[in-house]
Amino acid sequence: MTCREFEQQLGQPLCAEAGAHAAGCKACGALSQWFDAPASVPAIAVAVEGLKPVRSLPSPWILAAAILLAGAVVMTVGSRQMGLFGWDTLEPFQRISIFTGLAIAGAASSLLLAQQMFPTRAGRMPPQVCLAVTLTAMAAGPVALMPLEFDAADFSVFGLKCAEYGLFYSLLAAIPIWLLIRKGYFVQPGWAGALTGLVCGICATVALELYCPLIERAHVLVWHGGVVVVAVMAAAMIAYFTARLRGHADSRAV
Amino acid sequence: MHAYQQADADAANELVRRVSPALYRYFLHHTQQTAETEDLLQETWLRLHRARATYRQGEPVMPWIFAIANHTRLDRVRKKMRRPEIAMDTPPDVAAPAPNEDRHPNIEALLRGLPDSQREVLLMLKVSGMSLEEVATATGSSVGSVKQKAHRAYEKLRSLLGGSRP
Repeated sequence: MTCREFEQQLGQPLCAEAGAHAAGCKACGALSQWFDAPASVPAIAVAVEGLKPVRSLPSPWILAAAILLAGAVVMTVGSRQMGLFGWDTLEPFQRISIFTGLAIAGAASSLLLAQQMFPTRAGRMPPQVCLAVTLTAMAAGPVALMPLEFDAADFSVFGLKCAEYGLFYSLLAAIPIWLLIRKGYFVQPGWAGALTGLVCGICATVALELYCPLIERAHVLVWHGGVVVVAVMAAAMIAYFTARLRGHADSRAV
Repeated sequence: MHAYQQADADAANELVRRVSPALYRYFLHHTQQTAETEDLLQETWLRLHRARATYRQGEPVMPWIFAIANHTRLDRVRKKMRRPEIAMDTPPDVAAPAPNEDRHPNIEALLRGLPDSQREVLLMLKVSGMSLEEVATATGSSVGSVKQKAHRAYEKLRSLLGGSRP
């Protein structure tokens, strides 16, 4: 038996061959003795009082669908309130590219956010990758699809209006999404917050693209894209500091 | 676990009784201090209790528990890094020596010299008795990666303990 084969036996009762190896190999013998000796564990008991029944969370797919649905309701409300001037102004190929891209980004980030609600992490894309890919695609979209017709006066006047609407609808989307995700256990709360901000920002961007008739590269990049960036950063900071405060409270409770 | 979710106090006690030794050993090998280990164990149970809705029926329990336990431990490490304690606040744990101190005093020290990811995998596999698949689920990596980390850890430990034999 080689040392590598012996590794597989560690922590279990050793077979005769493994025992012979451990007797002959100083390092494996030492490892084996260490792994076999149990640590002395004090008696641990808890007083369980006031235990309330809980229902298991649904699968991440169902949660993601619910998050998307909540976002879709906010987008519908937003576009009904503000109008569909942007949709009417866009060319067919722009409509298809923009809304397909936003739908894919929304679905992917919703699924990843739903997966973040569970502490086990197998087979999950890192949230950093999702954020980087989505934000890059959202920056590349206007560059590829929209003309650069910069007008300094329009830029700030229309831009501030879009930012105001966008932030309002991001905030509106955050309420039902927070209600859906609040029962999750987030191992990376800051990144989960950033993903929540991303989903809310995408919902607001869809509402803005449906509403805003100014199809200009700089305007869309700065004011529509800015809404997403602000939503991501604000949600990440809120989640991070809330988790830190809760962590301190847990430590004090112990 | 399902009975615990349904507010069965006996099931909760049974879960604590069965799982705590594995968690205790896992924390003790990381911290080397019984007081801190007990704190971590309590904090982990507090978090497990709050997060019990995130356990899904039919899935293995240990990866779920150890994912939360490991997160609790890492939070404690981060907190210590942000606010390093004065040495007098954490005296060496002379009252409760680490296991096997009389036989292999160096292995605990050698373990501390391993990278965190390798030590984590080794302790989950061999001290807490989890399978490769369970460790992979708890740490968010593949089975191959877990095998590789464990093998590298063994190689390093063996080389430090006096070399290996083919």
